Amino acid sequence: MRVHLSCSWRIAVAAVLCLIPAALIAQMPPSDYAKQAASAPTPRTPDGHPDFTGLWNGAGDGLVGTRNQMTNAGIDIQKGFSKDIHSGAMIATFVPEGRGTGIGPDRGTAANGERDNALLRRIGSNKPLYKPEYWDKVKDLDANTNTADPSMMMCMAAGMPRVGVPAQIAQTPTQMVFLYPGQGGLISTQTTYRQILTDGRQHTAPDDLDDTWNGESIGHWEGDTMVIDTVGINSISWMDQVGGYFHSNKIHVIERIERHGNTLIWQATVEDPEVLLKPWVMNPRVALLNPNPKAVLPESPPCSERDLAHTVTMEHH
Amino acid sequence: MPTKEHWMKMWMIAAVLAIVFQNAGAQRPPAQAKPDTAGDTSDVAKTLRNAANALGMIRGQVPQFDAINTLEFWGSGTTNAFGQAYKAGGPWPAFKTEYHVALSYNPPSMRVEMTRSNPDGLIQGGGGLPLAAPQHTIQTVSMKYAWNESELGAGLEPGRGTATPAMAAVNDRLLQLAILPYGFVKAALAAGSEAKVSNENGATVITTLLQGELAGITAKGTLDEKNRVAKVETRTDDPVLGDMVTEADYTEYADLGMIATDVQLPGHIVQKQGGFPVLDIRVNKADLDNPYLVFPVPDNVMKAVTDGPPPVKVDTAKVADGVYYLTGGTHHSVAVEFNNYVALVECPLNDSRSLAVVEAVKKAIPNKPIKYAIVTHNHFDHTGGVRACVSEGATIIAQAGNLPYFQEVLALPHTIKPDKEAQVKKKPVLEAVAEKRVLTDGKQTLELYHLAGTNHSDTMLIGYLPKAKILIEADVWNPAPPNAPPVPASKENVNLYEQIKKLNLNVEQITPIHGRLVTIDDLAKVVERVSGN
Repeated sequence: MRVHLSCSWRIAVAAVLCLIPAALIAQMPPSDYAKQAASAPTPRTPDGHPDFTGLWNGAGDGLVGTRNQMTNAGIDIQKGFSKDIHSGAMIATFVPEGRGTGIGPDRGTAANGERDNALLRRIGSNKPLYKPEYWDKVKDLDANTNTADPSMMMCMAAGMPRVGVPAQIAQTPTQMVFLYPGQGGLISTQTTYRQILTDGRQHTAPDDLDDTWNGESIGHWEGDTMVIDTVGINSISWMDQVGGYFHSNKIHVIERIERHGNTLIWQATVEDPEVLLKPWVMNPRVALLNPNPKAVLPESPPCSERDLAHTVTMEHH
Repeated sequence: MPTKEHWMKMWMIAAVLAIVFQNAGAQRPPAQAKPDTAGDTSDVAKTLRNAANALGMIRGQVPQFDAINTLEFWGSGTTNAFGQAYKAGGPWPAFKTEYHVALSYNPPSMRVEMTRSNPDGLIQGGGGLPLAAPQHTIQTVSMKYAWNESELGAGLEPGRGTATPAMAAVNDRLLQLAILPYGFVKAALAAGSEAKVSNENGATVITTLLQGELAGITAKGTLDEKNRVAKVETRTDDPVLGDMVTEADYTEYADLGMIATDVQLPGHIVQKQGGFPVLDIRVNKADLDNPYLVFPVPDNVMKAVTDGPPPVKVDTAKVADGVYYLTGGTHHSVAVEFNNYVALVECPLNDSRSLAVVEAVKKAIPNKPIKYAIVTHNHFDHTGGVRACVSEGATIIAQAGNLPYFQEVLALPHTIKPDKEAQVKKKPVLEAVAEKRVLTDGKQTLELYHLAGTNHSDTMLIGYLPKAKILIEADVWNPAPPNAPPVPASKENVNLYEQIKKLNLNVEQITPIHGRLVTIDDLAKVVERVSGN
């Protein structure tokens, strides 16, 4: 397993964030701990909506190793064959014979360890369908992520919708604030935040809207689902952690967020008729509430990337 | 403010946690964590794991996964025109081929892009040989859809090429995906305890059923000394060869990835069908890193599946007294009425086409048996319905050079998809034409000639109806639609014209097995255009 030694600050933050829930879930298959969290009561705000307030990092993006990386790849790890969430295809799953190095196909080098993850993070079937003229570009970007990715290794923001599930949510009747501590500490991106405006306003007219990494987000409730419509995203960022999934500044992201007990389910749909054949419905991601009522989101230190010179592979793993 | 020491403590906590989590997973009882197959400690499970591991498919820590989904490779070598041998029973003719495969196992999809050109030396046989120019094809399959792309991504955007549905090819193309080493191991893993392991001549052999669209097909894989898949054999139905064996040999394994991934790919792939090579490719480059490969199905291809295959259509046209031209598909037939019987020229493609032709003959010429079925030549697209004609009681007439091979293949078992002959079990009766044979009842005459000078097939017959002055020929001239731009004539066209003159055949019309009813003047114009006369 390749650990970003030079990113130890971020890992330390990650450890604090995931301390209690990770300890709780470590012995359970994901489906079991998700069920347990979902069975808790869903708190509501005085105006009757589900209350999203809290730290949402228990099973977030890539904090506890392969399991969550596979979750990001859209693979539901089960006791039997694991399941591709998008297609339903079953994926043969094995327990290692002996601990070995834990790297590579029962053997390995650092390069193979990186490539294990590179392979695993790309096995999911749910990919944005680009127009054919962009197929080679996506492949090339993905194969050269370490230098091509505008966020990772560049200490820039992840951008929308790559930021994914927020680590913390603060909710008022007129806005929500989403906090993202450097993409959970996994990769070298900036700490960032988003304001989700829920006061009934409309989007700023396109001519008056500057493109930004996170865009302009307007939210509204559809029943118990918070639907967030985001436009005004710059064309620099990519749509996901791996894959070379670039986009144009015509990108339009619709997030749907639900709370079931202590589980937050986040899903985004990406429209970008400039480059995509059809909208991309991303795999849903599940976050668990940090059950410690006193837990706080620690400071996320400034991004300082020092890994790139030491990576063996070019593709992000 | 947190101190540096504080953060170092945090880092230590994180490191300890990481170890705890890893061990927590590692210490799970195997029965809880292992899947049905992978948790099985039987020889089957061990063998499959070893094979998957040897190919570099198993990745990760706790647990591990079959991490292969998409890959892409490039190579060059030869591909062969199946069933298009110059001599009956001989090897299929070869094209030089640049070969590019992009594939996915989830969903099962494959795009084979080929640029084929003429082989060196004397070119003999069918399949479009000789090519006027290098031929570029893109054959794609995804799930239950198959189509041909005029360019990459054809049919997905307005103005971007043409996607031509090829639904009949779905299973053949999916089989290509399934019998690659990874596809075979995946199928065996999915089969779990249904897969069987045995030892044959000292080699480990895995036998498994394929799934999905290929359900019911058995695949047998042989492992090499390093547990890599060395050979995969399957049997599928072919109208001519019956329970046809497809065998794929994989050797010279290496990590051929542009990005090294330790996924082992065979550097040499040889595939045979009916005992002869259909593909012999040396892989020179690969992307084995689950690259971005997508196979969106064009709307018109989806519609073709929704609409279902068009019914077999036979259009019957009386072109002369007692002469019926049976068209409506890619391969035509000609029925000639005699006093007490009918002679049918060509039983093409397969049972469904040829039985439909037989029904059309019965309708056009009621109450007369099809006594003779004449086979123009040995190519499989022209002989796939011979068994159907045998089942109708027809005596098969073919050029003498075909008979030993026809006798051999007509006896082959058809158990996978029993055709009508497999059910009625009529004994085939074959008669030969050496150079010329005449069928006549005094009023109607059909002359059959062994066509000389052709490199298409050395057992080619043409038919001539002197009373109607009609020539029947296959493949040596396929007249294009009337408004098609003129194309250069081939040597085969010229040879046909010369042979007609040499045999002193007073031809006025031609009923080709491919194309449309034309006149001898049409052929003359083509030949004159080419020769510049």
